[in-house]
Amino acid sequence: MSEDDEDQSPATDLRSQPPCSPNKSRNCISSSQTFPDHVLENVLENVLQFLDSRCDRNAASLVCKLWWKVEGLTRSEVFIGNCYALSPARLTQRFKRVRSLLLKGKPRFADFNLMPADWGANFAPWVSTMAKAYPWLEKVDLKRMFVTDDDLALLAESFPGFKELILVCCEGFGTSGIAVVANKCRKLKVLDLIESDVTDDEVDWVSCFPEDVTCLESLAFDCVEAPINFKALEGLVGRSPLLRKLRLNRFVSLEEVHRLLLLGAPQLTSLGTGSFSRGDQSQQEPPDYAAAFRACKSVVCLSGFRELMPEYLPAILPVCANLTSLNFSYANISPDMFKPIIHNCHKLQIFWALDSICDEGLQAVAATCKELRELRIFPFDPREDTEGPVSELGLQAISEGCRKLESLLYFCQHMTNAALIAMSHNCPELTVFRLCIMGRLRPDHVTGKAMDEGFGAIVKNCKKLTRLAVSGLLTDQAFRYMGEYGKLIRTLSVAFAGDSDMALRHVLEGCPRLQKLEIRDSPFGDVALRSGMHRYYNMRFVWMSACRLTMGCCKDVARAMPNLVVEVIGSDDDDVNRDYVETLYMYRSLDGPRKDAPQFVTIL
Amino acid sequence: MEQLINLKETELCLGLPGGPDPVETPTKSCLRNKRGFSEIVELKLGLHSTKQGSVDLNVAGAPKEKTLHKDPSKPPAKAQVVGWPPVRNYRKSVMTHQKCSEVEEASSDRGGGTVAFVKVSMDGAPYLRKVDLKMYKSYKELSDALAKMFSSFTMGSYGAQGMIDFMNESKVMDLVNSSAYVPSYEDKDGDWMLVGDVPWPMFIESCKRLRIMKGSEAIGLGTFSSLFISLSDSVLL
Repeated sequence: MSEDDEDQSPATDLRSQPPCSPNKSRNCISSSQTFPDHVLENVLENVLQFLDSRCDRNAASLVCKLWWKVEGLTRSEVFIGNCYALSPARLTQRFKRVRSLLLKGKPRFADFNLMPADWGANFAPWVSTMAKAYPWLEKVDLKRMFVTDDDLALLAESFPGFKELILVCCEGFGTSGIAVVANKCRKLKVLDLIESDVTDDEVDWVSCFPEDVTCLESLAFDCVEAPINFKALEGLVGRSPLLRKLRLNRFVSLEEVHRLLLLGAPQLTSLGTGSFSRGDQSQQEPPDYAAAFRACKSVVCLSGFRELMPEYLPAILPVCANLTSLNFSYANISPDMFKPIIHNCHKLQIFWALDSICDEGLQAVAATCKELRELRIFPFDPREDTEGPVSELGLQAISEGCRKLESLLYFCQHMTNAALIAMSHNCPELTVFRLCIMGRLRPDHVTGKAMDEGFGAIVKNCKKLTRLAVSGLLTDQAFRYMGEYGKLIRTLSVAFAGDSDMALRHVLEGCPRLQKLEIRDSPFGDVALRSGMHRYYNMRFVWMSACRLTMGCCKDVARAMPNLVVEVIGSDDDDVNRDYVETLYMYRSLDGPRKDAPQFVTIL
Repeated sequence: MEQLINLKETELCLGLPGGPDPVETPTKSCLRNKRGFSEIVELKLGLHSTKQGSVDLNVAGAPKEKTLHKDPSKPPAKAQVVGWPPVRNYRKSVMTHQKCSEVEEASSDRGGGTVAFVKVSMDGAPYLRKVDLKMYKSYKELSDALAKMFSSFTMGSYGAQGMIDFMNESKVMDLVNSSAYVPSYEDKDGDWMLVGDVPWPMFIESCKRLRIMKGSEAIGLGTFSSLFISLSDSVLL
């Protein structure tokens, strides 16, 4: 999931008038003197259509009016990082031939209940506008959007050539919406439902796929909390010769996985194993699961294990040597169970797991997985005051063994500066560093000092760092380091950290590439907020909750920056202290404040 | 610094009250140490459940700290802050569901095919053992098996015979006050009970793990008194 610059990195990019008139551009003038415009346009179209990267396209669109226009005609894939940064109408006005849309809605902190439900990010206006403008639409990829069954129905009916639907962390729909998509989108290649909240409408959606051979290449429904018709699934897999990725939900048992693998194992590259436990306990002789996995010659990505029966885990051994991606993060696996498995995974690049594997398990990873690029360790018991099974020992081991590490997400109870400093030296390729010391305000548990030096070393030595999430006891010094060294940081997450406004000022003044800033429960106030005004038009959003902001200051900011939408989200019982801002969420927008804000949102 | 202290003041913990120390040291911090068994018993009996884990209340309103103490006489556990640690709701609900069904798995009586492995720890023993409760049909069988398993570890005048004869109430009474061993188990609700209270089938359904503890430590287990009050038939064999 790359995080390139969004569609409109300079805010002026999408004005209806292009930035420079033809008179100012030498190239255009000289060309138009010798060739008619429409010829030039055709040439440009043929050239620009090869530009894929949206950064390149954004740059090309700034050259001159002609290039702006032609780029708009040839852009087929549009990325919108904040659905409220512009209206659907503006999208369809500027880009005429869009085939693929990637749209993101709610801010990330909404995942942690920091935002009330029904805040917005509705897909409805987008799908209805695009239904008229882009009948050729093929792909929709949504993250944190509110999508209804009606939206899905409209999508299925409006786009006959529709091929790919990806819904990540979305909600608002159920199995009936999925059924409509399955049934009406005859060219469907990808149906990926990832970590979304799908209501069980008791609809047999698997049976709704068309009877004949399908185009399905990827089907992921591990988040669907509803039983499925296994016979129908078997039939579907049987008539989907192009199927490469299959991620099953926990209602699919080991025996059923076994049967599916016998059907289509050799083509599969990615498998989500469902529950990984036996459904039918009465059989004395379980089938040979290892044989089924042996048939998975192409599987490089393995996930699932939603209700793992550990005695069957060794069945996956035949595929371990090929695995580049392994997700154990829903399986409570002990180090003893884990070590024999990981010992075989020499090619592993992406590894997600629960902290139940302990420091010991991480040491095993470090010893074997020399190609590791991404590591995520989630807490089995996500509370603050428990004894954590992973600590700085595991992190140290990883830093020493996995030198190519690029991305880290690590939940733990205890950490030391020394381990972070070591990692900063051992893993220079780090671009994403997210450490969550679960106890709030915890210092280095060996020295008792704040975690400033550790995070300071990370920002200083990891020169490619673009994403940082900090935790533990942090003073303003840590932020001073961030401002001084974090020149490439685009995303910063802060919680329960810092001493004063200066901390935030360091960051706002020192990090020129900062795009996404999310802060909670930190002592930053009006002075800090004002110090960033030169930056907010160049950022995607700023989130500050439970800080020290006042309504007065937020209003000043809103007044001074007309293209910034300043939302204050709070409960009504703040009558006593109306000046206090519980949650501030602000973002640039080309089309002014949204019209669908609920009651608890005040737009200043 | 003032801000830091304010934040710390809102932190509730089980330790001694004292002046707010801006920098927590490991020795002082009360919650860092592994909870002793008796603390767990107290907590579980007092608070009824420390499985507060995923209680991030999805309240339409400002995120405030919510305290969850149910018994005012017991010190409250550290307040659970909304949305912290930052684990997605989706993940939390999957894990919660799993934890519930793991318990169900261990305790459900599905017949010969299932196993009901529980960990057995014994005070003073160097490592844990595991037993499959389904392999035994009565407390007596279990008792014999455990005796064999841990016979090498018991010291003093009670050798293999030192394993409690669960059936004999008076012996239990004697031995509780001595240094011999008493078997206890953790049930579905997380409470620690003395082995032998309930009928055997109910026991294997609800037992999550076993601990064979020193007799002297068994005092204070809330359910000890039930041994005197009610003993089911199977126990009285």
